[in-house]
Amino acid sequence: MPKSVFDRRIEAALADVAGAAGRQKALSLICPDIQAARQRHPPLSERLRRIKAESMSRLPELLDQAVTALTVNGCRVFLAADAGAARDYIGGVVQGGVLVKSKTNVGKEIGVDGYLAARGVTVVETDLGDRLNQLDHGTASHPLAPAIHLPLSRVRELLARESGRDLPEDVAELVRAARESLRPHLAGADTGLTGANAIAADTGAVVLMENEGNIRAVTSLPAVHIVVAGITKIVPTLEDAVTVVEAASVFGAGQDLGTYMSVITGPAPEGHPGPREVHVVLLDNGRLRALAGGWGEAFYCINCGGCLNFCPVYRVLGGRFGHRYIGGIGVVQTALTETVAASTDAGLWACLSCGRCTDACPAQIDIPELIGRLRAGIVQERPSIGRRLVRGLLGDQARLSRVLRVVRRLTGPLWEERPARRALRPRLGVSRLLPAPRVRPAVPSAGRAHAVVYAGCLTGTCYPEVGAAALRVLSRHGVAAKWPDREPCCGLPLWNAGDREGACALARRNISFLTAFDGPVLTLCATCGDTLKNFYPRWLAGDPWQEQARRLSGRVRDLTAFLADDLTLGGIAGTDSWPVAYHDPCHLRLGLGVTVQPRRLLQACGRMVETADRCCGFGGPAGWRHYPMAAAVGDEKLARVGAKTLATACPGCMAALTDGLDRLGRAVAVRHVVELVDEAGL
Amino acid sequence: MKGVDDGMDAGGASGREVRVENRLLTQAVAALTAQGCRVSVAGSVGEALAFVARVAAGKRRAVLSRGEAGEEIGVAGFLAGQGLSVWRCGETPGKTVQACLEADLGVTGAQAVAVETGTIFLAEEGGEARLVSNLPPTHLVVAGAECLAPDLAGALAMVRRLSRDVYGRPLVRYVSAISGPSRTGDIGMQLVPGMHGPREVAVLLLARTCRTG
Repeated sequence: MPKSVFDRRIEAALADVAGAAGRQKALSLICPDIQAARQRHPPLSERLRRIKAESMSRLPELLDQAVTALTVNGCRVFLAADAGAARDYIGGVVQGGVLVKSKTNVGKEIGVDGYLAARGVTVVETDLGDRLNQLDHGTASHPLAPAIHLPLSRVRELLARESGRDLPEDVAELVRAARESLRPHLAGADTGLTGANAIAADTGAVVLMENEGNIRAVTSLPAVHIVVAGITKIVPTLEDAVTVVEAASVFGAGQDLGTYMSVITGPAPEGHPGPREVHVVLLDNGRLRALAGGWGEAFYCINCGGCLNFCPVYRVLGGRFGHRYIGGIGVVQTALTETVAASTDAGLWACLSCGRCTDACPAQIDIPELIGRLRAGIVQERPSIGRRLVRGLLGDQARLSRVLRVVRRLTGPLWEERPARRALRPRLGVSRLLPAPRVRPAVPSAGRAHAVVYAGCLTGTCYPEVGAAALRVLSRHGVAAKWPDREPCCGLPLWNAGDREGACALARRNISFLTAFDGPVLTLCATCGDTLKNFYPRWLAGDPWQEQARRLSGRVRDLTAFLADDLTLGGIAGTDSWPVAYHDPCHLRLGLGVTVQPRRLLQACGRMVETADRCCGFGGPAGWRHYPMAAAVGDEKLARVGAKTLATACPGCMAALTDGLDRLGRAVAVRHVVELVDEAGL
Repeated sequence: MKGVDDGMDAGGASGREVRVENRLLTQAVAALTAQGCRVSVAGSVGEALAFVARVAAGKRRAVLSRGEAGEEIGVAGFLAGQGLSVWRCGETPGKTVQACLEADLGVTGAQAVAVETGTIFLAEEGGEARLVSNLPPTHLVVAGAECLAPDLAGALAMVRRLSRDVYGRPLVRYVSAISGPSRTGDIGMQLVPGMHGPREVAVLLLARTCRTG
């Protein structure tokens, strides 16, 4: 099969060592600042989400109001239906000469640089990082630190060539040289081009945020200032616009407020310095249609880039994840402003659904959900035979187990736990992350159970010893639990693969299946737990089953939380001092909010050691579709694990971590927390 | 300092008002300093001009934004007396940009200061303050204590009030909110001041007593 466009991008990204090093450095510096700034501004995110939700629900009306206010202020407003119309308008205003420019995402969306250059306009980037990339003919490695991948020696070389004199490898000197070489461009430019962080409909004010002062120069020196912005940048009031830039500062840069906020309402009055003309190009390009189609949340985005810093896929792919707009939200925006095909090339199937983006987003955009909806749109149009087959298999774990064991018998050597053998598994149509299926040991079933263990497909078919350990621990503490053998799959694999109908059918089956049991539903798999507890009520919104989904949600408990909280296991440090590293499953930490309980349990088993907060790489269909990328995500996770035992609380993570350790040739045992609890005799 | 709280003159300030001002001044000094500004609170015209002299030391050309920047303490005349060539915006409008490009000191007033974040608000119709506060390598802000607001929302409210009362519009043409010196981290993430804007921002806060003294 020929490699897809996105697979080729993955290859290029993984080969780009300098880009990766720069990105890692930028992320390691930015992330702690952002985390700290967020703590200082607890209500900001709620405020922003309210403002953006209101703005998107009232957009046609706000657009009219903004156009009127901008026009009254003396701006020339152009509503561009698409990228071509925006380019043509700008081409009509800019007849040649020098155009100085600050960062603009919509500029990228409409391809303004290439268009103007082809028309003989000299385009000069003024943000230092962007300017360095322009001189280097390179691309941005991070929205906040676009040239972080360039080593100091290269920066010196570029600026020395530009300023025509020798320069030392000294950052302050290089900044001074850059300032001096850009100043004449700014002072002599005919046109300034900027984006907008927000546009206030009440006052017709364009609000811009920055740290360098280049935007202030671009908007105050040339005789013509052009603003290009998506119509979705409009918010009701000036105060709302200020909230947008505050949120961008805190969540995007870890600053309380960027150094400069410029509020511009129109051209300079007669007899004063400054632009004689201010043009505001408001770009639709599919946005109104997307809003009407229920995609408004995609445009809550304020382009702060905060999500990227925490996204495991961005960490390994950088700007190659996304298209003109970067990251998962960029994939969504590509689909809405261009085509779904373009979003597929940008990485529609790469998202691991770990949820870090939503957590990092000041507007709390549920990016994995938006990506899932796009996938569903594609899948619905495909023939349904394969889907039906998979749904049937996943509907009953006993059946799934039998089929997998037959497959294993027929293809024996493939299941040896060696990297070379694992690499062959995709030929069977299964992920190389899938461990060898095993027979479930006979476990004594409780007569009158007062809890039910929902172990999940992966536990049941590949890690049955985890389920057995759970039953032993529970029974030691007088909890008679039942582990049924015909439970259906939770449905998340189908949901993530775009088969929402199939996932909802499994949700209903699980609800009725689990209603037959009493007591808490104890999950051993963080993914199943998050799905049963949090996703079912959302999946079945407006469905007659939603009420039952809510009731089930109330019964679902992660097993480690149940053991630590209800049975008060752990807490007291054990006598053993052997180190055991712990990996937080994304669905457990971000989905279920369970973090302290597994740690308390492990502290009683050995000496608990933290690991880097990274995804294992298992999530979503990426392990099937884009294994090299998922593997790179896993490598990041495992890079600094030193302990000989790595514990976690999700069989999906166990599978990916085991594969990663095999790949890296590291002898580390991957265990479920409950296995260690069982062995410690707690 | 025009426009914000013109009705309140220094002589009529109550004890409570003075206490509020003193508290805000203390917080403002801390926040502005944390943003990397050089800050001084002057209780008298003499103290104020002494700070101006320190900031202007070694400088040759100063530009002053149109209007009242430091007028009440006579900054323009004082700088000229210190041997600087002084350009006041509005004298020859066509040459303002050139004057700002050549100056090594830009002096503006402030229409509001958000104390919480240490943010200086310049609100204007003409656009000169944008140039004066961005092109020369040093920016001196002369601000009266009456323009201190607790936070961004308070500073914005002051700008709104000024726009309505002085210009009869919902919002004045240009607002620049400045939090410290220009900076860039684009080379190796090492923070360096003075990319396109000033590398030095000096803030002179005039206490009420400056008016009476």
